[in-house]
Parts: sequence; C-alpha cells; structure tokens
Amino acid sequence: MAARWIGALLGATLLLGAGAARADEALFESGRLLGTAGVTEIEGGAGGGLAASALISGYGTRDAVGANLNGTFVSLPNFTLGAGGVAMGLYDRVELSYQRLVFDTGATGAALGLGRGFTLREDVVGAKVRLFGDAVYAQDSMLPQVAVGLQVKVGSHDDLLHALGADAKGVDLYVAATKLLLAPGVLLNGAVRVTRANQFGLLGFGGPHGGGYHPEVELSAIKLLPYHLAVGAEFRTKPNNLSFAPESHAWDAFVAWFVSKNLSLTLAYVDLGTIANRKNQDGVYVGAQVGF
Amino acid sequence: MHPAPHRPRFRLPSSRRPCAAAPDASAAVSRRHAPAWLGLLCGLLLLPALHPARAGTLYDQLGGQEGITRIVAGMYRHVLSDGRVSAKFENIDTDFIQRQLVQQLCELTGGPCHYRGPSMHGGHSGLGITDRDFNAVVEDLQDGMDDAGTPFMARGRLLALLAPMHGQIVSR
Repeated sequence: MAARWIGALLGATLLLGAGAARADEALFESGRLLGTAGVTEIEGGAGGGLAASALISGYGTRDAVGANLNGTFVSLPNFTLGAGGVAMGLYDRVELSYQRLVFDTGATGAALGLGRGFTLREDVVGAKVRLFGDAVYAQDSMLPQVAVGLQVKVGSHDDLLHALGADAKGVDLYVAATKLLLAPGVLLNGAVRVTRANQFGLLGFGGPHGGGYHPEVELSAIKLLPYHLAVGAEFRTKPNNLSFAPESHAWDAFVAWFVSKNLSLTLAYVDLGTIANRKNQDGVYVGAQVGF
Repeated sequence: MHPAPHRPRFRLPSSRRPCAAAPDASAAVSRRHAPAWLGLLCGLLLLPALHPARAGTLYDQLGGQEGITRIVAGMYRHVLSDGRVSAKFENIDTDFIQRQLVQQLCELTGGPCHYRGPSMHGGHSGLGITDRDFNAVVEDLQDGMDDAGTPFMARGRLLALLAPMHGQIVSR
C-alpha cells in the first residue's frame, strides 16, 4: 500500500519534471513567500502539527509545483509517535500527500498484553483542494482561504482493532479556513473534521461507544516573529469511541523556524491527554520539513 | 488616541481607512470640536488589530520621507541584482520609478504627500507579471527594509497595505 502510493507520487513528480523541462524551468520556482507553506500536520498535509489548514504544501505559486518531505517525532511518557511522508502542491490549488504514522507502545505494550515494543502503524493518503479566498494577498478583506480535504487512513493489525470494536480503515473529511493578518503578524486557522478516527486512526475507526462520523474542531493561532520565527498554539478535539480507552482532546504550543524555503523546523510541547488508559501523555514534539 | 489629526493632507479612500480619515471629515465641520465619541469608537474598532506603536502613523514608523526613500532605494538595489526579476526592469527609468513609489508609499502610509502618477494596474498591465515575480519583489522589499533597519511591526503594516495590490499588478 505504502510503496504503491510513494511510487505513484514519485511517478507524478517525474512526469511533472518532464513537463518542466519541456515548458520552462520555472515550474519548480518556489515562488511563494517564506512561511506560507505552513509546516506539516501529523497526518501529512500543510498545517500546524495538530491542525489542518487551507494552505497548500510546498512553495509553488499557481503557476508551479511544490513538494516536501517531513519527519516528526513525539516523545510521550508511555509511548513514542513517529510520522513521516511526502506532500505535493499543484499550482497552489491541489495538495496530495502520503504519510505513515508509527506508534510504539514501548514497555506499555507488555502491560497491555500486546508484547513489549508492540507497534501500531497507519498510512494516510490525503488530498486537499483550495476552494476560494486568499490567505496572504487579500489583506483588505477578512475572507479567509478555504479548502476541503480528504484523508484515507489505513491502520495495521486489523485483528486487534476489530477486537477493540473498531474498524481498521476510515476516511476523514475536513473543511479548513486560514487567514494571515500581516499588520499584526498573526496567522489564524480553523477546521472542522468529520471523522471516526481513534487517536488519529492509530486505534482504528469507530467503536462500541458509537461508530458514526462525528464533527471535530481544530483551531490554531500563530504569531510571526522576526528572524523567520513563529510561535503558536493549537487545539484539536477528538472523538471518544472506544469503551476500553477514553480519548482526550489534544493541544500544543510550538515554535517554528522557517530557516529557508527548503527547510523548516518545529519544536513543541504537546499534550495528547489519555491514550489507551495511560493518562497525561504529554511531551516534546520535534518536526522537520525539507522541500521547495 | 486615534490617529493624530496632524496630517492635514492625508488623503486615502475613506472606505479603506475610515478611522484614519475621520479627523479630516470632522475637520471639515470644525477643526476644534472633533467628536470625542468618534475617536473612542475608532479606538475600539482598532483594538483587535492592536499595533504596539499605534501612536504615530506608519509613515512616521518607517522613518518619514527619508526612511521610505532609503527602503525604496534598497529594494531597487536588490531588485536589479535579483536574477528572477531584474530583466523586467531593463530599459526602465528606475530613478523615476523610485520617486513615484516613494510618493505613493508616503501617501499610502499617512504621510504629507499626494501621489499623482499612474495606478498600480495602469503601470503594470500588459507586462505579464507572475505571482513569482510579485513575490520576488516583495522579498527584495523585505531585504530593503532589512538594510534600512525598519522595525518589525512597521514591516508587517507596510506589507499589509501593499499585499492587496497583488491583484492589480499580477496579470491574470
């Protein structure tokens, strides 16, 4: 599954590369302004660490293509969460992404009867389309940039997830609005996600408490600082479907450094609340993104 | 508290800067009796976009005519050595363009100027300017502000004033 999607994305990139050589080299121009590609949301699209945004990945303008690779690591008291993947922005209009999440239960896996170091994986294939509005240029209007997105999520260990009363596959749909307020140097972001995912989908989809789709909210506010730095906070509500493991909302506070259009780094404190009955799962989030 | 009424020739479409234009409007009736509630209302309306250095115009924050001239000169220095856009500025009288831009920024930021040159749209139509070109010049402007030591908050305010010109400058 993963290999197939990476192959498809690489193929598409090569095709675009061939197109670029033919048309003109400006197709990979990185023509957008620094910071306007955002960083990578844990599930792969352009956003903050936790919250989806209406921004399109990469620094390509509407005449060009951008892409990036990301890696994220979250250290929690009882678990570690790693994520990485690739995202592509087409003409500042469409975003395609593939992300893999790896959730290592460490010593807690043994206590849960799963075995020490038991690892859950999840593959997320995402697509986002920018609908209307402009986050950056339309400073004379409060109308935000609005996009809709879809994430197809496939978990590992179907048997385990079924035993929990959850499905191993699910789809998230979201609408996101993003606005940059240049005068005060503030970026605001809000999204509504319709989802059945437990812990982003790592613990499957739906469950005994209610299997249906549920609207959840993602909010973030970011303050731009000199030296290409930004600080911000995010909040994300999550469903509570599993009877054995109540799920909490998540929040984080971060600092991001847009070193260049080719590299950005994120350092955060993140609180994911209760995961698999282990309370107070908070810790350090580090993320890096390379691209154009 | 509201933008100070010491800018007698400050002219901007009142739809864009209603509060900034208010002192002018009241001055037409009576220079000495500007309604206090108008200032209060405008102060409240401006609160959400709190600029730390709200006292004084953006023109003042940029260093007045001298500061704006330095920013524009720095911007053109960077533009002319910027391989992405320098070709677009060949055969253009950059001294003339610089003077025009200084006048325009002076007026736009609340300075005592009255710009009489062509509109942004008129000056750029048919030049085939892309998003990338526009953003390259924005980056050159940022470099120019770096060189001029423009305060961070003033940069954001200036960029916010200029960003909507994107639609008039870039060819659709």
